[in-house]
Amino acid sequence: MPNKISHSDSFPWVSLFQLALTRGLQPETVWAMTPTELITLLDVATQSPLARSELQTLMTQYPDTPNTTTTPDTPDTQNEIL
Amino acid sequence: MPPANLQAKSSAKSPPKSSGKWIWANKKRGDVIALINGQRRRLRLSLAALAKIEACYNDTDILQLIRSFALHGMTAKDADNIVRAALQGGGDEACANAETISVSTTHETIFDLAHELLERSFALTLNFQTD
Repeated sequence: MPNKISHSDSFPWVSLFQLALTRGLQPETVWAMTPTELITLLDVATQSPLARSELQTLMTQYPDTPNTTTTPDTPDTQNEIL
Repeated sequence: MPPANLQAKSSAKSPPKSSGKWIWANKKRGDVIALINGQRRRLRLSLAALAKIEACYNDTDILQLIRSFALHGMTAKDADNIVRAALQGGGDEACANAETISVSTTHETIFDLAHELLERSFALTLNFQTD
């Protein structure tokens, strides 16, 4: 959310409404929203899902390997204490 | 629109009192609660309210108007236009069309209320001047 208004900006009425309507919002709902509310909503709606490459990077960084310090035969000490 | 009554009854920024009607302000939406004409009222500068403000200034762009208020100050009429539009945005048509608007207790002056409304609506921190 920008916290400054640049001198060349004009309020993007048309693009905001177009974007809102393509996201399935009804015009009367949009008219009742404040700019901050609508922009927050559209920001969330336009966030792209995780790409395969990003998932691969995460899988490399945090591999799904068994914890070497604990084996199925090793009792969970925390549970024992509890 | 009739001019605003700029007589602030109290300068204290205490929570809204009076009127048995309970009104909830969703600050995340940009709502502001103010004691106007003796009653707690919810004000919101919705997109419809902003369009109404633009209409008051021959369809001058709202961001241009905000820049102008920040640079050159806000007149009583400007503040009145903003507060009335926000009353409509909050669903209070009757008060929006009232002869006079008197802000008390919650905000020092109608200018403070107008500033807060613009800031909340756009999630901005603006340095306004008042005439």
